Amino acid sequence: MDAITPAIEIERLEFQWPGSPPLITIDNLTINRGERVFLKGPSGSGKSTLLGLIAGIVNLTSGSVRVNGTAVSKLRPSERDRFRSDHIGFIFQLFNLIPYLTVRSNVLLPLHFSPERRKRLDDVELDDEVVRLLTALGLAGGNLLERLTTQLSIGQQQRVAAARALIGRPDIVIADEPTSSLDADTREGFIRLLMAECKTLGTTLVFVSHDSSLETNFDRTLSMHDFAASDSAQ
Amino acid sequence: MIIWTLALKSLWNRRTTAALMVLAISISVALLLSVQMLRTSAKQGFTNTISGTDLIIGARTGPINLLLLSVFRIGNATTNINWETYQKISHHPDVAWTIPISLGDSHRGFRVIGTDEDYFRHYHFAGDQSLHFVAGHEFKNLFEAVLGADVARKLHYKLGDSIILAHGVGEVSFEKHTNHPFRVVGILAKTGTPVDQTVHVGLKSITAIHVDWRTGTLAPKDARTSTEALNHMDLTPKDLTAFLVGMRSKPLALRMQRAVNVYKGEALLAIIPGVALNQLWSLIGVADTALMIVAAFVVVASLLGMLTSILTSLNERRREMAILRSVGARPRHILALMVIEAGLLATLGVIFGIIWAYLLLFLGRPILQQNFGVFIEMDMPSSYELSILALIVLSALLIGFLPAFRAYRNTLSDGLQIRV
Repeated sequence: MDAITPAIEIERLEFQWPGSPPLITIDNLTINRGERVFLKGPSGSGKSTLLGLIAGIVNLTSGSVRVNGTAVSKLRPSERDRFRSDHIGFIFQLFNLIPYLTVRSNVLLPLHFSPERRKRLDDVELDDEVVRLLTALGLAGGNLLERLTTQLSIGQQQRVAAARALIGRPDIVIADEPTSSLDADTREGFIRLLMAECKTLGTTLVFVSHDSSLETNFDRTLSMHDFAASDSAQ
Repeated sequence: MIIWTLALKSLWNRRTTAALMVLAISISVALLLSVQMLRTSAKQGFTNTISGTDLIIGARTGPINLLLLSVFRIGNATTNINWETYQKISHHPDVAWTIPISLGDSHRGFRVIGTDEDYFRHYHFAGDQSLHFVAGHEFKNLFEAVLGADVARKLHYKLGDSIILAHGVGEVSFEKHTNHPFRVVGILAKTGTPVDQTVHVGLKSITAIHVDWRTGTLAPKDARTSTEALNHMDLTPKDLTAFLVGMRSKPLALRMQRAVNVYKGEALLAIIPGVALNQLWSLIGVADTALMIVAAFVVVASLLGMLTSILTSLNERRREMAILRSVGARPRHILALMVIEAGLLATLGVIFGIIWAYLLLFLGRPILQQNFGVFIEMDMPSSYELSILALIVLSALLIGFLPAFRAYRNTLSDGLQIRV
């Protein structure tokens, strides 16, 4: 993978759910490496579906989606799974931490399924990396590592979820409305720290939110309105 | 490795449900194992009842009836064998030894057997084990009795105690041989066979206590024969219930059996104990098999219970599965997770089932022995029993594939849309 290859390239993409009218149409969209993109749109406009298409979870109807130069939609399901776990980290609205695992285990979980992400951390102690990430995201405190995530506050859980997405330095982090359950102060602080960490690691960030006030933190804003298929737009 | 950790932690997280599933499986495994151990012990005890005896000869009846009567002391003979016939056969050159058996009396619910000293010499059980005395010796004179281990233990008898035999075999008898009490001169060691529940007396003693009986009633007191007079009487019995025969060599038994079965002097039946035991076991075996089938169904029901429980929990766990998928777990990891969980539940169920079964047998053993005469060996599980247990775990693994496959499919479609 060379430095000038875009992180995400979408060409002539069309998507519709079976039996439904076309939902998304994108002629051409490029997201560059290290770019931090804000994706907005009303509910039902297909934001999560677009994330699914980028991650290779949802099969596109036509066109192509390339991530780091690889046509994700052309990969076999097992290859797609492997590719996703090696290159993409996810942060969700409801954090989706495993309740019976500790903070440390939750953050380290992706490394067990991606030897490549594990390999990227060969030069550092894993515990050090977990502490570094959590500290960078504003979650300090050594004894926190062994606590169950259910014992944390919402804001703390969100930081653990972000650390889990960033562990092993994935090329792209997809954040699907990760701040919707946070209060304004916590939200601002979290965004700032997440952006800083993505910048440090050179990670591409695709961030979905209803909250337009966050737009200013990002390099670019994409609106689902621009990708609405003409049928559904009408 | 992470899948094992996740499976263990996930189960621990749902420990109440998991414990109930393990409990259900363990109870069914304990039941199955106990039934299996009981039937193995029962069969072993059954076949160990008599050994070394080549033929049992009695008046003509069914083979099983003769076996029950002569070995298990169950039932009554419809008719007896003449003493002369017994003498003739016992003096046959092919016959090594005989043990006469005369039944008909009892003591507080225990059968009394009239026999001779050859009983203590030639009766064998459980392979080649012979009878041993824990106290005293065999009877030598009239009105001496040797007690089986259970008789002495249950009735708290010791050497020198006096016992009264009853006419007939009912537990409660109104016709007792009170005029001729017997003295306990020997107590046999435990055998785990009907011998333990038998009072042994000499053949002549049986004749002696019946001298004053006429047509089923005891003669008036002043007309009864004194013990002194009995000692000088010829007390050779006129007939016998049956007798056990040891041949000089095994092949001779078949020839003797044929000869006895066509004997012209009276209607006799000769049976080979092993053959009759097998016939009897095949009858009992129907109930035994039915019991085993019921126990097996209990195991199947508990495994299906586990399947239902896993399937029910699956919807609640879709989120957990989808999270795992989102952090890189492949469908095969989800499949392995579910199968490992099912396997762990079944393995724990089997381990606890074994513990319950042994605890149950340990506690129930004295009760079974005391009330039913069934002696249960506390051996390690046999290879057959271990293979049953392995089959249960294997079945659980196979059963685990069903929810695993559903989870596999669900997580593929759930993907990242994990707001389930």
